[in-house]
Amino acid sequence: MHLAHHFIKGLWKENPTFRLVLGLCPTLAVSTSVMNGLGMGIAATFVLVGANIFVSLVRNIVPEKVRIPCFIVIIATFVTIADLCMKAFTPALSRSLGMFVPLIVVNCIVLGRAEAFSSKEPPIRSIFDALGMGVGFTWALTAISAIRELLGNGTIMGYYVSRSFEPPLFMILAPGALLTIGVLIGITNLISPKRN
Amino acid sequence: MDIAGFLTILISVIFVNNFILSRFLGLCPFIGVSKQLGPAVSMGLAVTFVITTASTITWFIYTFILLPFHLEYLRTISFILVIASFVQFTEIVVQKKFPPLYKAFGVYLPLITVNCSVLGAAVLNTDMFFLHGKPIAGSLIKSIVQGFGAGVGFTLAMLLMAGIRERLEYAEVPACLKDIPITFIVGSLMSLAFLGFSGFKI
Amino acid sequence: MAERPKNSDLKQLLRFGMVLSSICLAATFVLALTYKVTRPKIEEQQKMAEQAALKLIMPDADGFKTGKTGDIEYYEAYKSGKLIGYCVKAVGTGYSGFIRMLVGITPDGTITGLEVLEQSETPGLGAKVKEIKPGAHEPWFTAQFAGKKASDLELRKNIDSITGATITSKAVLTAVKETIAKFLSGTGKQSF
Repeated sequence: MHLAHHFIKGLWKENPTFRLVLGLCPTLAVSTSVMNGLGMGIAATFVLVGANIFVSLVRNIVPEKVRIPCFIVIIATFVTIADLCMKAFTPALSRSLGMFVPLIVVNCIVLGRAEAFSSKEPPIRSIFDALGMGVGFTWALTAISAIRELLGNGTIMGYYVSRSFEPPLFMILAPGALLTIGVLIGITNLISPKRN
Repeated sequence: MDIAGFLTILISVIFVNNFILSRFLGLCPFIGVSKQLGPAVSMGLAVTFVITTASTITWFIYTFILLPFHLEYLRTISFILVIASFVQFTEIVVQKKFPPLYKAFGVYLPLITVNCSVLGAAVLNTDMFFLHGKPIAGSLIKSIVQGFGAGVGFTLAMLLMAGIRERLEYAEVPACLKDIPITFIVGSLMSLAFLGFSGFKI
Repeated sequence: MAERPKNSDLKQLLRFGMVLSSICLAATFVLALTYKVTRPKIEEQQKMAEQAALKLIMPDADGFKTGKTGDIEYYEAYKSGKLIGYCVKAVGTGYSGFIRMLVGITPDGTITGLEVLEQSETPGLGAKVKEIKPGAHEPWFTAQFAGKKASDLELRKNIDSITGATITSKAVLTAVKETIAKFLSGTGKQSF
């Protein structure tokens, strides 16, 4: 029951992208195609889960004052593992995500969860929390990419949907990313207003 | 490398490839700390200082430690550790030696560690100014110039956004778009304007 | 403890250092292991990508031999033992980083094909060097190079540039032109 709660809150109530507004750089930079969005989401989920398990395991050993560098080292380790594995097994995806794979290190979601949750909770709960956040991040990223790819390129997963319209290029460029996420956060607020 | 070459890098990284508005690096502070002009500029200056220094330090680490020993796979972990320790070190020094400065910048320093633009600049430098595992001509200077330009571009975007947001306070924005969503939409328009630079022939 | 703060400070500092360095050590060990495991696979993938590109730009060849002149790496392409051309590695400086390419030429300098191996250009603009139009089989931009002499290439004359990505188009063109010229003079195969 409680475990499920930790998982579910990441999907909507505390969705990292739409509600907490964290980890924006990769969200906007790689969401030019559904493949990229999905790939980035999965890579970030892997790092989240891996890093949070270890942060939770060492939470009682690591002194308060050096916890941030320690967490960063743990996160960077998982990021590099993900980076190397992507290069080895999905080279095309690794090339199109480019420098944003190493930049998962500074994705605020990962360090944020490590600091706010895993450094205080036991591993099992941390796994569920990380998984929830990861899945929440992945679906948000996929949604943004789908909108941008469809409107900006006229394709979904690389397949042409309709050739009857000339896609507005700006949706796939930087302004389209900022516009899409702005409108989507607005819609989220409309559906369930934030209580202050 | 001649002056024109540096200018090209500088202009390209400030305007054409602005870190925030076209590369999406350092968006969190762009949204989070851009409510008022003062803090936005302080953050920008602090970031400029850290990016420039970090670009220099990481260049030396990459050229003299990682490349000769074929440890390229330790790039991410070593860069972020260096940046984190450098930021912490700066924080301690500034706090002890320049208390007034600490009052103005202190709160932003820890935030800079997880600012993508710092690690982003370092990674970008190694991607752009190293070929076949060797630094290209003028690599160090180019890295420093690119790091500095990235900081200036960051400050410029922060400054513009904060100026707009201070006025936005008095505008009637639909409730659901208040604060963050409208900031993104304004950012989108700014980025559209910056796209105008991309046809720039330098 | 209050009267001996220095000593406990030092102890604490030592403990911090111990914890941090042991975590770093463990991390490095894990990464070295991962690197060792994945490296052969990564190299194999790179080789496969290069082989696939070679096949595309020199479809008639049945064997390749590597060579090097100056700092240019190339492959000699053979068909049943006879030299039919070269595949030359070219690097251009694009909008946001290097563009790595493989150019196929016949011994007289006519381009047989061009493949972009690696690029990090802006999606929607420069990344269109690899865009395949609906119904087509190969990227339209690089397909334009085939059948032309490297020295004759000129943007907007016989090569259409990518809309909104003049810098990328120019980078590719200049790199092809310069690398091939250097290659031909370097190997002494100035056959114009």
